[in-house]
Amino acid sequence: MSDDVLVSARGLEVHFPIGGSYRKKAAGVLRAVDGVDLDIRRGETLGLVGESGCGKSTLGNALLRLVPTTGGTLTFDGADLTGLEGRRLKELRRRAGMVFQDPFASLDPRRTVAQTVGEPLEVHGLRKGRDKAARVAELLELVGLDPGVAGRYPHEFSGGQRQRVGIARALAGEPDFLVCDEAIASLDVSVQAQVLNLLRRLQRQLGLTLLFISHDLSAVRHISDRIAVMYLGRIVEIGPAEAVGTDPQMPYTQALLSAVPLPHPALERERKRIVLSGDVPSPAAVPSGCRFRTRCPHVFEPCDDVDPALQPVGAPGQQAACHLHGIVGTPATDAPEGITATP
Amino acid sequence: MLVAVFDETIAPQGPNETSIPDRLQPPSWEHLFGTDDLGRDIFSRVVLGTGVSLRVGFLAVGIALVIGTVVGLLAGFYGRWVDDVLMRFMDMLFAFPAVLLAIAVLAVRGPGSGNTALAIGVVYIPVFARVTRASVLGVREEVYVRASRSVGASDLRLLTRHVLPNAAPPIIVQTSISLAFAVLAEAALSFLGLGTQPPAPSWGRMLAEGRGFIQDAWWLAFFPGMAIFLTVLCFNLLGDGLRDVLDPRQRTLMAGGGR
Ligand SMILES: Nc1ncnc2c1ncn2[C@@H]1O[C@H](COP(=O)(O)OP(=O)(O)OP(=O)(O)O)[C@@H](O)[C@H]1O
Ligand SMILES: [Mg+2]
Repeated sequence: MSDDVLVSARGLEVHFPIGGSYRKKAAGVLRAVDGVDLDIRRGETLGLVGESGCGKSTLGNALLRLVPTTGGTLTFDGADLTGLEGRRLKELRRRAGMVFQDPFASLDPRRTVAQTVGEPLEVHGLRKGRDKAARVAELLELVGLDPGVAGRYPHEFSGGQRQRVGIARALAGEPDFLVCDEAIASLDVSVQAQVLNLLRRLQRQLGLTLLFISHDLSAVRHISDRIAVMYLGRIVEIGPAEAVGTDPQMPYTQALLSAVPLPHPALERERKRIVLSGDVPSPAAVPSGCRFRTRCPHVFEPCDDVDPALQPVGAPGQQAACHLHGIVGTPATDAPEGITATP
Repeated sequence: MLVAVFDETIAPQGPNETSIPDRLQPPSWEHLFGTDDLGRDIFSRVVLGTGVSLRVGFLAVGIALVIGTVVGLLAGFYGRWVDDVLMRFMDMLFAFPAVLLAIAVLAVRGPGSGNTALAIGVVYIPVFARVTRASVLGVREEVYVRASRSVGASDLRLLTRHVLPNAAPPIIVQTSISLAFAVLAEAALSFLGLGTQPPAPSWGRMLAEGRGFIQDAWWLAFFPGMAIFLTVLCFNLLGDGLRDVLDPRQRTLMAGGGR
């Protein structure tokens, strides 16, 4: 692994038991994240897109050790994260933060802005007393809020302001890595652009590494250096934002992209929509071979039994998991991981 | 409350001062609430009984609140086997009829107001555990709890700074209800002769003693009964008020008329 990679996942899996409890054996598994290989480079903004339920949030949470992983390896700044405990896990919590989707749910209604933003400072013993108040004021200013609001409660703010508070909290421990999970999705359209620009500014100013999760492809293209496309728990295409956004190599990405309205009326009229047939299969019953084959317009023979691996295609740095570019991957017969028994 | 603090000053005469010629006097200016069969001033006894009843009530609910809330917090927050073990134990406690349980505690430890409080407290532990657990189950899934964990907060911090304060409203309401019931329970146990021992004034005892005279001298039972009723009512109102005061949303509304 090269030095410029901050977060790295190999074969990462997060499987949830279905219908079991700690006493009863589960009836099945839900493969929310199912074999993700991903390197996030230091200082880059990586956009993560995909349909609802494909496992984006679960992946983001897994990278921060907020949900337990069930397989694969995960490193942060070269250190293994799987099985991290106690003080070292706490240090990860300082160095890697999260901005949540719903700013109305992510702030404790009984705590003032100062208490919320100051919490990481207290938890990690970074600042005390006057220093802490000063740092909170600094953080509020950093996210474009008046430091005078420190004593107020969340219900006194608008969605956009609350999200700024959430961002200030995430930044308080001076993290290297920030996961923004649909951070603008629940805001008013007029506010979305402001918060998006704030995140971009902060990323540059503080040299943050950003994982920007969204289903809004145009927002992702606006902010990201690279884009990763996720489908049913797996990353199926990744590459420079420009390349993925204009010349996608995986039929799924092509379909996603064709659903984005174009800004120019003439272009918009020309736009050809690729409408996918069928629904997304359940992550509890992932198809064998290529997981996209049940909806792919180009499906052919090997798709049934060879699980495609990411391979370099298109622009430099672009990779897609699709047999149209050559059959690379694990055949279902001798790789148990690729098979999913459909009952 | 005020009455309990100023009891000695308000009470016109000692609680156990007897005066046989004045026995069973109806309410008058001299004896506001009348006198009982031993000629004791009921007003004085009701006033002085306030302290006894409230002390037992507060102590009982304090015991139940502290233990029950801790149990409920742990069970609700950690779930799984912690929940199973703790709540099964609470169910066992709950399955006993309340009076039987209290009587059992008193039988082991002997009567007296301290033990009465303990007995009533034990009875109410499962109630608080259940209310707390149910409330915690909702709060622990809140995004702000996850958010706080994501910045490195420990379980203890999550529990004390985020889960407990947000799970508190039903617990506060339960506290006020239980205070009312504890005062009643103390009265009931004293009524049965297990609680506060004579001649100490206790509303329950006075009620019990007054029962025999209810036909001829209604004031014997009426005034202690009213005292219990008013206290119960006050605690309920207090609980509602407290819940509103502790809610920052309400607080801003009250303070600034909305910003
Ligand atoms: N704690 C959990 N227990 C069981 N299943 C879960 C859990 N969390 C997520 N899942 C399931 O995992 C799958 C992926 O969920 P996830 O929230 O990661 O999707 P997503 O891509 O973020 O979707 P969205 O765009 O709707 O936010 C879903 O089928 C979801 O139901
Ligand atoms: Mg999500």
